[in-house]
Amino acid sequence: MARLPFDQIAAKMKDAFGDAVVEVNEGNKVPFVLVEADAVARAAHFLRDEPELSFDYLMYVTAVDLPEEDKLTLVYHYFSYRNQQSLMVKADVPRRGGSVRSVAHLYAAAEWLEREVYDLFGVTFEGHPNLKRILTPEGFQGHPLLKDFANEDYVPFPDKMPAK
Amino acid sequence: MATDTAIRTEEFQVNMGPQHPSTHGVFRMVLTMDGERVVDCEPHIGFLHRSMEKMAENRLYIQFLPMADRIDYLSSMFCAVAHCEAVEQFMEIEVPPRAKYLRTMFMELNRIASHCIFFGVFALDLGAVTPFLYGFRERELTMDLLEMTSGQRITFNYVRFGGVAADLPESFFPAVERFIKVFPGRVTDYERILNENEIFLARTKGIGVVDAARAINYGWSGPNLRSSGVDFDLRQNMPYEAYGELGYEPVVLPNGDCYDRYLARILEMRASHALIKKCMEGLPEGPTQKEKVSKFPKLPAGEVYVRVESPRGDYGLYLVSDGTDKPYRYKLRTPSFNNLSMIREMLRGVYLADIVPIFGSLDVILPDVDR
Repeated sequence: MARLPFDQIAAKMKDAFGDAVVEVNEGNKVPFVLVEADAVARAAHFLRDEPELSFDYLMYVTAVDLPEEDKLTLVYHYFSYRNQQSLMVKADVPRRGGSVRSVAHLYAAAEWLEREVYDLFGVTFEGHPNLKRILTPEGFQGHPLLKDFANEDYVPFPDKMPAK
Repeated sequence: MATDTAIRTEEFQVNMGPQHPSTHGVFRMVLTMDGERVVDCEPHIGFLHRSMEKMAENRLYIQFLPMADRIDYLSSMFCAVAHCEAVEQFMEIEVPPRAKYLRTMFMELNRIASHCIFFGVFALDLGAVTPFLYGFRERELTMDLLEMTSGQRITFNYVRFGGVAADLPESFFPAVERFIKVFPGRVTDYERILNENEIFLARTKGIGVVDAARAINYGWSGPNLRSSGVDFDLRQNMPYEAYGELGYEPVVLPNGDCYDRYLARILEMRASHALIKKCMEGLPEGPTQKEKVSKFPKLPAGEVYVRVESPRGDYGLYLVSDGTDKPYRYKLRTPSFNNLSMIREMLRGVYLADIVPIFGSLDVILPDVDR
């Protein structure tokens, strides 16, 4: 079991993707690599198939809303069963209408995880086989985990509610 | 194979759920059937979505503590421990050893309670009523122990930042001794009633087989993953609380079918029982709560990720703080969500009657899926 330390993984990613690696943050409690939004799927492919890394497990995909900087940070957290280590990859997308390539063809787990991010944050995943809302009910408007989401006007199942 | 004599069949759709006795909560499958065979399955989740993550963002850390118990009500101790561990990592405090042991012991008791329910309900789904009564009988023993100490039977609210809420009461010691004595015999009862039961074997052996590569690709974890032959258990591989000192040997099974997923949980009950025994033997003296830990902490800006081995698998909490007294982002990585995501692929091509054992053997809890 050859477990590479984080800085070597980051160096490998820099070699492979050059300028698409925007930031390598080791000071964080969970060290992470920030990549360009259009490199997310390529990075996933690289991390999964590079023999020394073999990050074969996608633990979760999520996003963090940062309205002050007008961006959403997507978070992909990988794990390698062979090397028993994890790696966090982040990517910034615009708050409204953000879009990245889907990784569902690499990690089947991503199919539901990306649907969840689409549902709760409104990020679209290109090439996703079935991008629909997953947790909120049919006909739901808006994306609840955005910081400025307000649901005062929301009526669940309006056609089934008695008229006021 | 189309031959001249083949009967032409027409596909039809069946709605299974949201209200169905075997869906363990509220889960809907739209099944496209060709006779008895499932052609396709469209799962619908989210009926129990309570927006836990959004609620966490609007509450103080201590206010969310009792709510964390409600994320997965059958293993609430694990959700609470993950919440507290995340906060403790931010505050950089070390929990006193006695508190670590108590947390570990109650997590294992909670795991037994959860697996007892799995045992009972899984057998009930397949038509056997006795195991259901057996499972609930032993669950009651663990509930009693948990109730004595925490005051609650299901949502314990027992863990605190830097320790636990209460030390063990006097009456706990004889009760736990009795539990340690009788429980292995009860598990033997479980094994006798189901392990070699012909009907049970016919309905679970070789049904819903999943190999290790596919299980990993779909993000499986916990007993489901280990019964597909992957030797990984956070308690052994990334120990937290007192697991490092106690040592743990994971239960790994090779076949990846419904029977192995059932058996993994039975064997885990025995393993948990051994851990509880070790905990009681090695229980250190000392305080159960670290002193001078703020109940209303303001955490420094940053982020942590905490993983806990819950009865359903790898329970994760990704917590982002912006320096205030409320979480900025509270992402729950719940094991049931990932375990369930394979259901569509698993059900394609199986018989209608196999849906219940396959779904039941995953041991998903719908509040844990929907959050």
